[in-house]
Amino acid sequence: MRIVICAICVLCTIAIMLCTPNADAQVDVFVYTETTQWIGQAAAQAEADILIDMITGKNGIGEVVNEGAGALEEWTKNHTKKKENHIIVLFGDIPPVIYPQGNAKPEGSIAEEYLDAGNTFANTADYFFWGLQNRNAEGGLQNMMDIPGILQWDDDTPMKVTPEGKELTPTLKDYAVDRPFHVDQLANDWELEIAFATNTGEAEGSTRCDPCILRNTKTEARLIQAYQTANQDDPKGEVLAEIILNYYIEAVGAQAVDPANKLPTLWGDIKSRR
Amino acid sequence: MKHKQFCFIVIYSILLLLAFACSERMDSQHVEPSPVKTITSPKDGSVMVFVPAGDFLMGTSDADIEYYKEIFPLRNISRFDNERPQRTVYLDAFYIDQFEVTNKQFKQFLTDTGYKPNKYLDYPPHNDADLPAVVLEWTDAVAYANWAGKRLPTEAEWEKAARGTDGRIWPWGNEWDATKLSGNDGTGLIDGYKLTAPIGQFPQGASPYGAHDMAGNLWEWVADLYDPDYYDYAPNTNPMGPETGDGHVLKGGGWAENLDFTRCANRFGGNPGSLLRGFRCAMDAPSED
Repeated sequence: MRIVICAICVLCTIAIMLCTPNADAQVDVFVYTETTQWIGQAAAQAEADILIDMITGKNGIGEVVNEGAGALEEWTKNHTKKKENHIIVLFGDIPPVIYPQGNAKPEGSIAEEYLDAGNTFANTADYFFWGLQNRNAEGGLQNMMDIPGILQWDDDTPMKVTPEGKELTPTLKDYAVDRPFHVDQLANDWELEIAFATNTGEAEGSTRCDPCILRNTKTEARLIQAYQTANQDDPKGEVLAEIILNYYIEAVGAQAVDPANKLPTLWGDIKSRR
Repeated sequence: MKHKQFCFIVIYSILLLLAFACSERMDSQHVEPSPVKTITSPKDGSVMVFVPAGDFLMGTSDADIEYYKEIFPLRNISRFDNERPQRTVYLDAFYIDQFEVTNKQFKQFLTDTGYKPNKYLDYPPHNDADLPAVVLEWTDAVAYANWAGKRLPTEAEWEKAARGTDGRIWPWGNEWDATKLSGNDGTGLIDGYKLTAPIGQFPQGASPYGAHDMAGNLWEWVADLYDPDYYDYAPNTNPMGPETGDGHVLKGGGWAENLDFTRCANRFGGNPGSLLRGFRCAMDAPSED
């Protein structure tokens, strides 16, 4: 009898472990500021410092690294193996050490393998994956998402904060974006996971968004874009930190919902729509 | 009889004054350009329009700023600081290409010279013959101009060719009109083109001197180095740009730009990022012009 009870206890423990979100799988963050585009290196570093200061040591956040391209290559490879949800933050440029010059190796690059393993790129300032001096141009984003034809043009597009944005990113205000994400060009397994600001002020029915998160439903890869604007003085670091702390870490299961917190009200609503 | 003549002169003068007052900001009413004087450049075959010597209003005034607060409510007003103060600038006469340099012309230059461009988008959808050449580096634009026996326009020349003498915001007037340029929301629904448009598709948006596509299509390189504070100390006669600067000035906005960047006074410098850019050439007008 005692053996049976023990067995049931063990099975229950295993079941609970399996059912609990991946609460101890922390999100590591690499903030890359060595090369930047549409934001000066000093300004990018200032925003990066704000981001790093806000997220370091917080629940669900693992190591936070701010180093150059050499370290990024190794870090990216290591975090591809882990099959978890880590974030590389870019300030308008993706260096050739992880995505070859001129989009020469669109499939199988370090960056693409990292993304396809269920990881995340976050980008601010210039066009996602464009590359300094047109290194990848439109092909960067198109190949990383495997969506031919997707573009990020439309300067000066008014962005209105969504109800989700008002709740989760309190620093975000209405503004004009230069390289919005084109929600109406999403294809294959990509979906708009959450929009903090859109051209309509609602996620539903919008065609442009920024900041927002795009998610691949098959691979769990995510793209976070925030303030893709030309040399515009936006609170990039602060809003990125709010997105990561108030949404991302819980969305990927790095931090369980805190029932005592206000977040689950909205979060539950968001989840129910997914 | 003398009394009648006097009345006629008074009434005529009042009408004339009223006409001047109303014309100060005619907004969308396009002022018909005077007959365009052109020449054809022998080397690259481009048509060039004549811009006569004289004064013009360059930059952005305080009144413009008040107007921008209404039409660009989401823009930080400090964005316009590098266009101020507005001032009257005198330029000698010159010719400027009526259209942006096309892929057909740029490839002819490459064939003739064997020149290897640093950053030229010679791949679809950017490289159709009649589309403006996307030339991302200033030095490549200068190399073309030298081959063609011309030069890049100065920033002042470019701005005068785009807006004429009266300080208008866009080449056609003071009200935004999305049907008058290659610049839209990326859907192609407004101007009919998903990306850039072949040159000269928007004659209704031509400048007072007959130059096309000065707003939208591609950002255009000019000769001047970029200093955001240049207007504080620039000369008022034939300004050639600062001695030092952060890259070169880009003017006119591109096809992806809606309002703000396509203004004639707008200037962009430093790191151009993902902006698609091209150019047109200019040359001094012979003294007999």
